[in-house]
Amino acid sequence: MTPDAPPPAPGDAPPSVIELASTELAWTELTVAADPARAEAALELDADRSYLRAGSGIRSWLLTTDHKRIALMFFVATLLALMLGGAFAMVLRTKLLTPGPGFIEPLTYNRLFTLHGVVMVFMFMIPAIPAVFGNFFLPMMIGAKDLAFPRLNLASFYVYLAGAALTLWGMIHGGADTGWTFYAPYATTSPTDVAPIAIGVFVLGVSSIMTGLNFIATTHMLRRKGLGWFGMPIFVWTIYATSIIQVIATPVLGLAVILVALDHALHMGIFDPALGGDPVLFEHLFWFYSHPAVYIMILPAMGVISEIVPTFSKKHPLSYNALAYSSLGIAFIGFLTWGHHLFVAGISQFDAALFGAMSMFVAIFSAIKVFSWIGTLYRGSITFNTPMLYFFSFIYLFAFGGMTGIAVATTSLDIHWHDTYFVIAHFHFIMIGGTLTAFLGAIHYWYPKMFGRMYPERWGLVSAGLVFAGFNLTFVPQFLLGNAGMPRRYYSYPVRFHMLNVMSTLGAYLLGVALLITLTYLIVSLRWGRRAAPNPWGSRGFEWRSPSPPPVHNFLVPFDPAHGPYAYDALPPEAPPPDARPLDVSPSDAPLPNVPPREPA
Amino acid sequence: MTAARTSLHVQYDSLARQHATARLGMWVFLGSESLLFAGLFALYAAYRFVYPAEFHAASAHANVVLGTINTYLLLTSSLTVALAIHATRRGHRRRTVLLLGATIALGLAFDVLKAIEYAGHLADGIAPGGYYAFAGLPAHGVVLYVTLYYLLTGMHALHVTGGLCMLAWLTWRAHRGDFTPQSHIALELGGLYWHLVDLVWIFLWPLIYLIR
Amino acid sequence: MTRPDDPTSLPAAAPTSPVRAPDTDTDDPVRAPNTAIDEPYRAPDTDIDEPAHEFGPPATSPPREPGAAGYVLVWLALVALATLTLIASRAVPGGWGLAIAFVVASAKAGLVVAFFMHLAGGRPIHRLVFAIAIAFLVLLVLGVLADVGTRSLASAYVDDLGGPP
Repeated sequence: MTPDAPPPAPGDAPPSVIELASTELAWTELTVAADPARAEAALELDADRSYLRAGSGIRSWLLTTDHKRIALMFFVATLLALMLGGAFAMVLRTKLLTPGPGFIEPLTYNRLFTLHGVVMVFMFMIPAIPAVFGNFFLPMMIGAKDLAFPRLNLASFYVYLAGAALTLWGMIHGGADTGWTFYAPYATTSPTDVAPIAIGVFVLGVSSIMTGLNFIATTHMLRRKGLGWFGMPIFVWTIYATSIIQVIATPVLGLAVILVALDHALHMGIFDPALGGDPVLFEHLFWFYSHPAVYIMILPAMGVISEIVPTFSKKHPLSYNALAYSSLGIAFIGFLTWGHHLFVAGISQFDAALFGAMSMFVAIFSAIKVFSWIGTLYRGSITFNTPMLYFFSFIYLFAFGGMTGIAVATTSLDIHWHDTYFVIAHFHFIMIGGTLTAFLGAIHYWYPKMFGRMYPERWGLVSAGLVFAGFNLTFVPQFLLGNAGMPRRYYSYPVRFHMLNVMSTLGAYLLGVALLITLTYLIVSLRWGRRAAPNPWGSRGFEWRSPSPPPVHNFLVPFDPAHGPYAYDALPPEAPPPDARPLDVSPSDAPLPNVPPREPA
Repeated sequence: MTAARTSLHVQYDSLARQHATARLGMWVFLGSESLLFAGLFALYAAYRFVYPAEFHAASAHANVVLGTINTYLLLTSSLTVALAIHATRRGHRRRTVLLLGATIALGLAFDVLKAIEYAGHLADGIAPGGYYAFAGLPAHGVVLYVTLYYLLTGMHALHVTGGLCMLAWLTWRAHRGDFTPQSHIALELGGLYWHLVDLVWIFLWPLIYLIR
Repeated sequence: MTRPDDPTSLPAAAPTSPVRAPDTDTDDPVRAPNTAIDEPYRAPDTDIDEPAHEFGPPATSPPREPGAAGYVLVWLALVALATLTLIASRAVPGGWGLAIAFVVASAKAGLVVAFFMHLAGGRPIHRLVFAIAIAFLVLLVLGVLADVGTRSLASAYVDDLGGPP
């Protein structure tokens, strides 16, 4: 079926998968070789109908209920949060270049690591992939026109902004120095101002609950006709599992931080030993949320990986059911393990043993996923684009981060490693090596769909490599530091740790530079990137069966879910490879082969 | 389509699906709210286990009469709100408004009695945390019961008050004629929330007032 | 599945191809909701929503409800159980008193949830959501108790919070 063939008459047999694939490939063909003028014209037409163009002016954005626009607003907000948290990290690492007193005061240092944690966890890591990519792609992946509750979606964005504003105000207004974990009794008696940041975190949690609620309702009720639970993309499964954690766990955090705020401001004393209280109970409440929270951070990242790997291997996942069920498994088991953060806090040996045993189980489901992804690569047709490079980075860093997680979840080992840099390195391996890497992979994977432009591929590959290098240089020394006994959250350290700290700081600078490079070319490509085809990766995913960028209601023609999101076996052998397009180094006014430069408008 | 009718949003194919989705969303929200109280129940369980004598002694000063009256008030308010929705299904607008008004009255009475109870305790020096000044019982352990009492019932009373505002808005909408026998989803959701408030109190009441 | 518009026929105006699914909005008369206010409420026997061209699993009708007499009966049961709790609390002290109070409270809660909140006649997913929330509530309480309750038993040392005197 070529672009010149007439549309099928009503009463014809529905097109076969081969024809369908040819049709969808035809969109790609148009932009690659066949007829440049038609290709450009088609892309222009799509751009005019896109959600980016529908409605202009600031009010059409600030009062939008379009999930795609809300996703972009979250995108900007979370990127700003990432940069703010990253800036704090840079200052911290710069101080740690010297073992003794440095260019900031100890109190400032304490405030900075507190705020680094609060901003990174609550303003970036928790919302990032769900509120940006979940918002944008969940409805598209189930064939819906929007989420179940679009106004609730917009409200969740404004609640996020309110929480962020309150937290930032608290930061400036004598920010807390308690660490992002707000442990009683220090948090309840600290001379710094704890309550505003604690309440800011509470409000951010409300936003998280609203998002999760919306996603759960959408997944249950708005799936396209013919799309059952086991026909959906895996990304939807992981977002769904994440949403369950969000609505169940976040209220307990809300209570915990409110209690800290009340205790600090009004001397409620519920955790005060002088009145008979037990500070460890705060830790129970806090970690009942915060351990499942790390699964809020990693599950969507795993969902992104589950979309990237089949696309760039041109192969269905090794086991769809394994990936789907393990998402629910991680969500469930994640709730049973919070006590492993309390091993040395003074809980009973029985409880410590119980949680230690439970913590071993969560690795099973992560391992199932890792083997599924690796097995997907086997006998696939692999292309090394930037998203795929981020996958390889992810699989290495997540595997090591996960294994060190099992290590610290072993009670006897944790007695040595608790509150050292070993733990810091472990969770940064998962958070940066896992979630941030997948976040960057998601940006590059879905960039053409969201913005209708391509990013420059060589820049993408290089900066992915630099991120990987910078990350390793930053955090591998921290494993060694922690194992050698350097405590976390310390302003100064013994001179024997000096060299490793310097390495770590240099790595941090490299990582920061790499991320800035990435941000720069992504912003530049918004305006000057090559116009993207609807499906530049040749993915079978549902979100790719729509123009790039999508129209307001997501699809011009409803897709047929019988052709699943991983149906790569059905590709006709004689079709041109969908990734047959040249690597793009410079902005699109450099001429591509067969395509004349665009005339200025 | 008038503003008074529920409009069909573009992502739904039918009002039935839109309403069913709203109901599901509400149940998820109620589940989430239950977890908000869960932490307080956990603290209560822990401290009661550790300080059974202190909890017993302290609860002797709880106002069982007011607490019990409040229990019956809330149970009855659950009945009236359920009957209000039932009346809407029958198309009886005035009866709906009256029943909703009765629910609000009962909820208001709950809040008033609670305030009286608090005032009584505070006058005696039975205050939370650092403000505890009751001569009759030493603070250690007892003040935990008192603080938990204020936290649990205070959190609950906040939910009651929020529920009253919501019910007032629903009453006004019902009076305006917004609810039809076929379409009254806001009323259903409001009713569900109010029942949750009652549910929490059903558990709070014996834990706080009836320790023996 | 129909093919998207042939890009060669670049229309000057907006495309009018019948292939394209129209952007729907709420003024579309096909989608006007039932606004007959005089019709009494009927719980239909089958699902209300006809399988429209787009949506998959059908939404079920609103849950069946007990009726006014049923509600009052449930209320009477609740009042009776509350009174029972009061009497039991006076009669049975200590741990058993707590257990009885808990069982009765659960019974009351069950009545409210099943009949007032229509969990009994409603959709299974509502029951699942509620059950999961309660399960995690219980998990939190048990996890905390597992710590506090076993400190004197399983700890190398005993502190102020080591357990019952």
